[in-house]
Amino acid sequence: MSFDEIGKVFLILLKYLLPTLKVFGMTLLFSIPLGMIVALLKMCKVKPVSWLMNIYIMIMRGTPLMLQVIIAYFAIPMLMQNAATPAWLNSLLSGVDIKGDAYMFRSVLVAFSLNYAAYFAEIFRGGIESIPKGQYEASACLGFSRTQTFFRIILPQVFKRVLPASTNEIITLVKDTSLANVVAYAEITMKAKQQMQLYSSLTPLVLAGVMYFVLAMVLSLLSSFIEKKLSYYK
Amino acid sequence: MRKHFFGKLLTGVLTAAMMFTFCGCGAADTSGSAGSDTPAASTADDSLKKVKDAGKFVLGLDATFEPMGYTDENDQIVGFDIDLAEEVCKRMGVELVKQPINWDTKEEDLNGGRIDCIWNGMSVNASRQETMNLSEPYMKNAMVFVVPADSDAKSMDDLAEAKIGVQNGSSAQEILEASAIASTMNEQVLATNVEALMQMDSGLVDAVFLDSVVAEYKINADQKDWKILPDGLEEEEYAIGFRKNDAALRDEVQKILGEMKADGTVEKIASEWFGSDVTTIQ
Amino acid sequence: MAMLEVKNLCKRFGDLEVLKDISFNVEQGNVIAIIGPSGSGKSTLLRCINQLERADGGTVKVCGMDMLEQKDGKAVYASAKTLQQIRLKIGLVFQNFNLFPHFTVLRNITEAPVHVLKQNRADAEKTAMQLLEKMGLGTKANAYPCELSGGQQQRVSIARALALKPEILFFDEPTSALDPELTGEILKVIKSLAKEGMTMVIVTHEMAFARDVADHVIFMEKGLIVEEGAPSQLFGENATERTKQFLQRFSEG
Repeated sequence: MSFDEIGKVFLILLKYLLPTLKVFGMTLLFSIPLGMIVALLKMCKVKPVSWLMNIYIMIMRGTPLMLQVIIAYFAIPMLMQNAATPAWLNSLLSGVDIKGDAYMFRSVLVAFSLNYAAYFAEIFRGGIESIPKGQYEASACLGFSRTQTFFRIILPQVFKRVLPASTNEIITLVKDTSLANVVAYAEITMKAKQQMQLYSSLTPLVLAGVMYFVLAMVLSLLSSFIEKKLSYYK
Repeated sequence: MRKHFFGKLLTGVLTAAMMFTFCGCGAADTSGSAGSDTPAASTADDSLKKVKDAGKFVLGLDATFEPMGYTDENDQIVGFDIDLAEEVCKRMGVELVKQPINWDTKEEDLNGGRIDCIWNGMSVNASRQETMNLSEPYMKNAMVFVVPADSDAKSMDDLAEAKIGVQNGSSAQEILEASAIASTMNEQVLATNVEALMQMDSGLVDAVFLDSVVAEYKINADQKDWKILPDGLEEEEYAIGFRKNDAALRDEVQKILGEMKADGTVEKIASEWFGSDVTTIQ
Repeated sequence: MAMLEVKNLCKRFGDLEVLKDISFNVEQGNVIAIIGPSGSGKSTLLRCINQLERADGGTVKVCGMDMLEQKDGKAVYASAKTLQQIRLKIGLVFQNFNLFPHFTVLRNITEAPVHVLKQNRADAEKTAMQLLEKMGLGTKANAYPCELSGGQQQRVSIARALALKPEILFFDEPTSALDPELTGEILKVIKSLAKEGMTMVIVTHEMAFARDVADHVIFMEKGLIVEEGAPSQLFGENATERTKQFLQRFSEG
């Protein structure tokens, strides 16, 4: 490929950085709080709740994300076409504009958020369980409520402990956004593959790789910066 | 076949989910009703009306099939099929929406209602005839072997023991695997034709088996040093795929294509892409 | 007035009876030392009174408020509101400090007054600084716990407990996690609190200290109070054989 052609492809890929970042950012926005909720529910003393969370985590971690994206994407159209779908569900689903662009993004987001929430849940659970019992006891003796104890005493310490493992997941997520192309969501990898076809050259894919690399670098620098900021206590 | 795999998988998962959630429906009617192959029976065929009411005709394509429908260097979806479809839509008075899809799940996209048709140099075959309402074939295509220009191979018979690249899930793959000659060759299944051709350039495969339309267009457009062996395997035809029940929409598109052939529009468009009218539209 | 009345307190962990029928009173200004071999139930007793463990039977009355009552042969705890009130009347100093590592020394002390007692931060910080001065840690207000020695950390945790102005302060082996040369500074702090008339219950292995500072000593073994009385009695010639035996073994090593 000529220099001009590479520049052209680069500009196209740059344009699709935004949809990639959209999947990345929105997934984090939903999966981190959801992961925290799942972690707390899994530690819940009511056994059926805990088992349910276990099953959820097992399914999400035990099946490929690519498969989950495909199922999330086709679930609603297939249910709508299926004669066995009850009428109330059908009327509920008929409000969904499956031909719209938003539908594709949302189904991708649902699959990514549910999948990453499961991984985050296990990281958070490990973090919460690693906080010594004495922290809870000291808080109780000082009169803090359970909510105050969790948000003021436990969570800030959990945050520091789960940071390295979470950074790992977050960097994996940057690269996993490329899986959205199985349902033809227009992002960097999808565009790189199209351009690769056009020029019969691997260069567009390499360019996409460079972009993911830069994103991952920025994130790991950011993470070590935060880790340094948090190193004032042990 | 991947398409069957996905179809069955989705049907299975969704059926299981529904039996789980709505066991009230009873198991009796889930056996025959679930799945993409049996869309819900509609009382009347309102497919054309729906498209006209929406003012949109959603064309599904994988957007990498040069020259039929592909993404160009300016990130625009173009191609011979697209130009034809644009003209059809103009005459129907609706807007053409070009919706890229994953070719592996095209049947699910079509039956699920995400797209109104598959129009991307899709070859006619028995299973597609069964699962879709196909238009009349609009173009002929032969399956040919492409080899490097300096290859010793003069005909198909010289390719015994050779390594042949073929696109995964394509008709070319089906035809090659069904042919008598396949047993003498080593098949290398690759994701795309272009990857197969790239592998041939780097000497990883000896020949690529693909649609003559693509082969000729590639050789001319990219000025590649390849040659097409004169004898190919069976000829095939391209058609547009609609949902099984969407006869009205299919017939309308077919009618407009006939009119476009009659008034010379088809010839004009075909000449831009192939130098002459290569279509078989009646 | 009795600040703390414990009657017939029982606690079981499965089949193991850790506390069997414990009864004792603490009067205002008293310093009680609880001694005994490990596994005798001393820590569990403190943890029951501080609501870190649920007792199985008996009654507990703190500052006139019923915390645990016996109704129809069952142990019944007071309402959540009363339990919280009781909680704020008493403080507990842990063996291994349990300071909050992510807060500065000052914030460790002010966090509960500000968020539990709803004091304004400036007042809470003023009180905290006074307490730190008293503990000889005036210069460490902005340090983090990990930057302090064990003895300093334990003094911060005492200040943290005192910031809520408790009526009774409990110590659960406050010097056991410290190097021997650091125990002195903690014992000095406790002594000065005793001089100010602070009511305290101290579980300890420091026999000399118990003898020196306590008004009343309780010797526990196997979940029972074997002997109690003035230090002069327990550490003197008239103590029971079992107490003497324990103290003997203790001084040996």
